[in-house]
Amino acid sequence: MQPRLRIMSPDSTDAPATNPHSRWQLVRLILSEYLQSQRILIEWGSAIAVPFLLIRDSTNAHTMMATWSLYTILLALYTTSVLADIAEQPFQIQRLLAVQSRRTYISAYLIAAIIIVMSSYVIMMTLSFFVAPIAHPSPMVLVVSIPCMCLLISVVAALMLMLTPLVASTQQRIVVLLIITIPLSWNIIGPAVLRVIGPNYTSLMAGVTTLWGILLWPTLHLYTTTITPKIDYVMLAVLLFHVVLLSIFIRQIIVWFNKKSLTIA
Amino acid sequence: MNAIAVTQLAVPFSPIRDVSLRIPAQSCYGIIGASGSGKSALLNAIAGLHGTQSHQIRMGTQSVRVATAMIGIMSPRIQPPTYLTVQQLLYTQARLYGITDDMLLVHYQRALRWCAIEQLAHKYIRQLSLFDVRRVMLACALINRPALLLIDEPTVGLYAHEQHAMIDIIENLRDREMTIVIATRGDVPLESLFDTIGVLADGRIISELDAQQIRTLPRTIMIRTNDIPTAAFENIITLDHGIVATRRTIVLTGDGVQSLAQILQILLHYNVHIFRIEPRNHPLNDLVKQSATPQVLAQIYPPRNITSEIDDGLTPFTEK
Repeated sequence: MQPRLRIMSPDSTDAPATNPHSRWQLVRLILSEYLQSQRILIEWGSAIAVPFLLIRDSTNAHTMMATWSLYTILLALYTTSVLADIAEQPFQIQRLLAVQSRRTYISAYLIAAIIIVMSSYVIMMTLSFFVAPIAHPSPMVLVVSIPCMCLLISVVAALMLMLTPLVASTQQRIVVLLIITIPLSWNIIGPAVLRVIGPNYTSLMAGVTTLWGILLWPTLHLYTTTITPKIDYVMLAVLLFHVVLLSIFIRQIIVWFNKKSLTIA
Repeated sequence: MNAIAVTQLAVPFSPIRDVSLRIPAQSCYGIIGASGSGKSALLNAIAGLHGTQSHQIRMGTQSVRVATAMIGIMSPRIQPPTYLTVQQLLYTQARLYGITDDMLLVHYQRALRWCAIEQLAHKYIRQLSLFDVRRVMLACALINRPALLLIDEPTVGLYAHEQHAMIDIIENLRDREMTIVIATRGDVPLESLFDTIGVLADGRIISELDAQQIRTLPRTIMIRTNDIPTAAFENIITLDHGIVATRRTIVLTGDGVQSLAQILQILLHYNVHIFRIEPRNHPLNDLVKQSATPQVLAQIYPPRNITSEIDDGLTPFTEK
């Protein structure tokens, strides 16, 4: 008698092959393990320390919000890299088999990173209110600033995830780093390149400089928006730009991670 | 019907160059190869973890990439979080598979029973021995009752009595309607586990032995070598009671057979030339023979000597 092949006909005690809730279950699992392993103490501990060390003497909202933003960006870089390292461990990759979709797996880690950083941001913001109540911004300013901060954290976390070995190969990471560093250091690189290629290409270089500027301006402006939020068309355009940028990053992460070879055995 | 069909698989950055194999449903398939032959890379690929090669591996009629939830994998590399209890670990794993709360206990208790770890349920992972952790990870792989179970080196690092217990557990799983693939260096009692053995060398499956051939494998193995240095000799004879060695011959009997891979490693470490392993149909014999390149042979045995060695009935070969 031909043995029955269970792959094709799971019996009643088998789990379903797909699980639509697995992304949120995985997020919950990542967060609970991050808490249980006490790694969260670094994020929350620093979120408690920053108001006492750096914000206590603040006298205006601008300084306080600049400190929040800088701290949160650094924390997003740190937390995402730690989670990417965890996601690469064989035990975690065993869970990738369970959730069955690489998109679900990598997005769960990204969401977990954003939640951890946001929780630290909330802790720091709340403590700042008690430590330096005079400098605390008005509720209206906070309401505008918080969505900008969420977007900034998401973009930074996604960018950091793109730069980890979990997602991208060495060549891909170098390309991403070049895309970031060349515009930021264009005022140094640009004149040097112009000296090498000669004055005939001045107009071409001016075009490239403008292009970098177009890309850089909204990138840097989001940071400014989180410090001095002002509702206008410029701010909406910047937010829209970053939503598009974030979706490009996430799509690229999924494409690269889908092609990535992982190791469990 | 085949549970797994691999067609001309080549995995970048690994020794796997051209692997084709068919594993029948509900059978136990052994992949035997030396260290670095690509056994683990092949298991990873079968689990759908290699990014671009997954279309060359089919599970039933599907690409393996879309059927990963039906695969369980156990490897010594998998280290579970030490701050969880066995119960917490298995529950979280089960929930990820989408097992509902009403079925959770059924799956959980079954995994405990199959791996004989009922008494460990409420212990923390950090309290467990290596053997216990290995069984817990096997339970983790079994929590979804997978159709395909991949096991990498199940007995490595375990004491002899633990190795036998692990083999008993895996043997019992053979009656559970699942296909089992085990990668090993060949130091477990093969005949008790495998229906088929594939010998992996040179980036491909160089030979396959079926159940009947495996049963005819002897319980005594003889290794013919050139002179063994004293240090290697002392290392070898202290491995097991079932090992008898002279300066140019090592005989393994009973449990000593399990030390074969370890002995080969010692011999290779001391650059001892292995002429052959007897009986000649032993899978590792093919492995050693296939991995010797003409250049290596020519270096060790100058051309004029090769003929005389073969005439003497001692076909020379060595590992790369």
